[in-house]
Amino acid sequence: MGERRVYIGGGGAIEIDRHYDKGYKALALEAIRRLEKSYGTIEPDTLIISSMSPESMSEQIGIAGVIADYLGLKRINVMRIEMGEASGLASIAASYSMIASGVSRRLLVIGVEKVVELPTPYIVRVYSMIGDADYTGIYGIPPASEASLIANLYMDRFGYSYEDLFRWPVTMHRNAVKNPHAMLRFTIKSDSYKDSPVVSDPLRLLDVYPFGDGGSAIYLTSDPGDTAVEIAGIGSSSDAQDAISREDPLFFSAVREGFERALRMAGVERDHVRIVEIHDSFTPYAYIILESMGFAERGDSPRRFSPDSSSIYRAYVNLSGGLKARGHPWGATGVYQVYELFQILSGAWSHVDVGDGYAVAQNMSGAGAQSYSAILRRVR
Amino acid sequence: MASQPQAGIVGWGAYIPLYRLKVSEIARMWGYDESIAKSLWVEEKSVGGVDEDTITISWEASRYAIMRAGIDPREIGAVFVGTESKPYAVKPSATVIAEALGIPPSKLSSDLEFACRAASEAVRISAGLISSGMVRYSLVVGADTAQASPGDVLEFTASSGGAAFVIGPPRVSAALIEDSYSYVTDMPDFWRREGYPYPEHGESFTGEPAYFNHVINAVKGLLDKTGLRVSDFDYAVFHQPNGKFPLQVGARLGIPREKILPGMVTPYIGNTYNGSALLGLIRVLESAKPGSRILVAPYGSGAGADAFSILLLDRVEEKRGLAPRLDEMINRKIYIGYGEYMKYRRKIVKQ
Amino acid sequence: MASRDSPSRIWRLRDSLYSIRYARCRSCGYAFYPPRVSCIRCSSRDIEISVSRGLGVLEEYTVLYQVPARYQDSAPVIVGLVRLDEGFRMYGHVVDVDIKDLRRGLRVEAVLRRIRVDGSSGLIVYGIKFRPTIGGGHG
Repeated sequence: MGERRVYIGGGGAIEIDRHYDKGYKALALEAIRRLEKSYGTIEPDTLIISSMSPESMSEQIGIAGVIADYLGLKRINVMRIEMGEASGLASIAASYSMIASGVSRRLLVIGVEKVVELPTPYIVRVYSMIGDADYTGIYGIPPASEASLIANLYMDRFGYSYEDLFRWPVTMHRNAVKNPHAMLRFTIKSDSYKDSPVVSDPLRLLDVYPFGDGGSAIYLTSDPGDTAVEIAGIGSSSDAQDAISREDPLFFSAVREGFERALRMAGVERDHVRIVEIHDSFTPYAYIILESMGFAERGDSPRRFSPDSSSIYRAYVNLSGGLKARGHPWGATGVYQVYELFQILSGAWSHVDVGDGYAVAQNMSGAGAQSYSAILRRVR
Repeated sequence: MASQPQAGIVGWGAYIPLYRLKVSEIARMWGYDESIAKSLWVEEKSVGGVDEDTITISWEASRYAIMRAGIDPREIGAVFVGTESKPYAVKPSATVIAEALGIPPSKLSSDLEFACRAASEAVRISAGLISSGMVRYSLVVGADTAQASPGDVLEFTASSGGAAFVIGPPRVSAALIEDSYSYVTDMPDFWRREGYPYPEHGESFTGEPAYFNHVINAVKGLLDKTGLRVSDFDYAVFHQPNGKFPLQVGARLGIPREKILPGMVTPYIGNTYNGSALLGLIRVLESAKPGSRILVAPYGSGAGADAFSILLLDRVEEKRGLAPRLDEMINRKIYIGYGEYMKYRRKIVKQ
Repeated sequence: MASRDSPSRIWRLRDSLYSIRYARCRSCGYAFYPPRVSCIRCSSRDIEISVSRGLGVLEEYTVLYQVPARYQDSAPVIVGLVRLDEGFRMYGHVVDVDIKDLRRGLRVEAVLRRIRVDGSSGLIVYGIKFRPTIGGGHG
């Protein structure tokens, strides 16, 4: 629990896409430009870069320092935070702590990632590094194969067909059409999977997040100013790195605990949550995450989730299109989630209104190996 | 009669990869007349998967040999791999297998090369190690992923597989090595140059002056040494580059077909080079009655041949079921086409 | 990025590449792989490490087409969820079986195979894969 409150002054994001013409520096710069366009000139005392794989993709160690230098940010506190796919909210959590403790007063978080830099088998090789290198890494067991095994286990145990679960990608694509920075802004039909190549049986390309580059910036301040949104709580937890060494691979304890810790810090009940952005890297994970967060009983979220309103229980889910259709530029994703919720809470997305409800972002790595949650609310 | 046997086969194991390529498919590919299968007496050959090699084949055969031996791997004091398809030109295959099987550091270990008879020589070496008391048990593997130049007549028969033996003291053996003899000269009948993927050979030169001359001399040397006669043997197992040579050399030695056929493996899976005669021996170990005497004559180009007199003991029967049998391995198969064969045997060059 | 296999690293991994070393908690009995310093279920540090016989059941499987670089020669890869007879679960590639013959409940055993090869001059990494048992499986 921090001494000071943590406000989101502003945010900006570049469309998630194959930005062959932009490296890390250019992506960061564009994110800043868009942030400053709505907020005005920023003067951070701290720069946090959230990025998962600059070493593997761009031969760059110390990326935060290089970006700070490039952006002309001098004599400030500089750091890169990484926790696999959860780097984004991990960075937000670390940033929250710095503001709350008074160590920082004006903090710039930039989530930035180059993903589409190599042929697909090499991107998959880098992505596989989120698993234990001495086990799933060297044995050639990529995250998509783990997700597919979990999909099969989930369908077997709870009696769902592939078509039942495919409703998720259909809804995500519909949502993404209204998200200006989403990568896949086109609708799909309930049988579109038939034309989609198999990634790892039964999961098809439409069940898996697309590879894309991205850059998103959030400006956090201890001074409310004109701000409408604050971060009310953060929380995280972790579990065994691979899903099947746990007692039950179909429930993500790290997701539940991270979410509950954030709720406790914010002094809020699940019933107050009106909108969530969850980490749907693969179709089956969306359902398991919703159940782990307590929005449905185990095995029940496919029945409880309403595709028409993209909601479950009392909350909208992934109006951004989620990782599935908005995209997942690895280390930047959690920052995108916060930016999207910030946009919604501050009224910038006119098609959504959650009143005084709380917003939650949930960002994880692997199959619930580590999970972070951040709770946002409107302050005026 | 033979001197007192001082070593025996305590356990054995065979491994044949799953895949098979029909000789008719190779003939079709390269424009050979389809009667080639009959003239060689080989129907199909075993092909290792893309993730298999001499080390993996040796490991599997050795595992079964140790199971049948019923010993703790930590009791093994020597590990030899006889092969002409080492995955590394320099780095022993034997040490990988030994480490993976839990055989501790205090041991002799190396790979041997002598075309198809390297493992056979290792059996003789092991008999010496055990009878001298230097080592209690020795693990010997003969395994290959045999190479042949695409389109060359050797391609019909060059196959993948391995035979492993735990050699140890007679009193725990399933079969005694009563005696053995080697006949070795320098002969350029078949060779493979350093760094080059395929062997070359002298075609019919590999027959009379090479295979037949050395095998016959090795068998004669054994008979002279031991005072045994050909008729003292119930079975005769020869190196089998194809299905015909063993029958021909047997005929010249006065051995009837019925004694040779049970030890024939090549017609069903091809010539596994270092596994060739030794797999034939395993086939007889798994089917013959205790008390049977087996003549085993491996041959390796370059050239040399060995001759063993092996006597089956009662103990051999109880060991057969302790691990998969060779015939189970032979009958376990999936057919592939020439393209898959090229891919699995890494003949497709990717820059 | 580092694309050559490190000899010291591969050597250091030989225990987990050449055999299946698993953990069992002496406090609560939970068995898991890979071993950790403390029990996944009850956090006790009283852990016993043993070598599995390598026999088990294919509980679940998937056919993977999006294969990572350096493993593509084996595409499509069958990735299995194997429950070993000792009671723990692990992932592994499943080989020597036609996709149409795969089924849940298949008895499998661990075998040593090539895992990956570092070009034409680098190391060959050997490790564990699973295949259907031959003749019911022998441990």
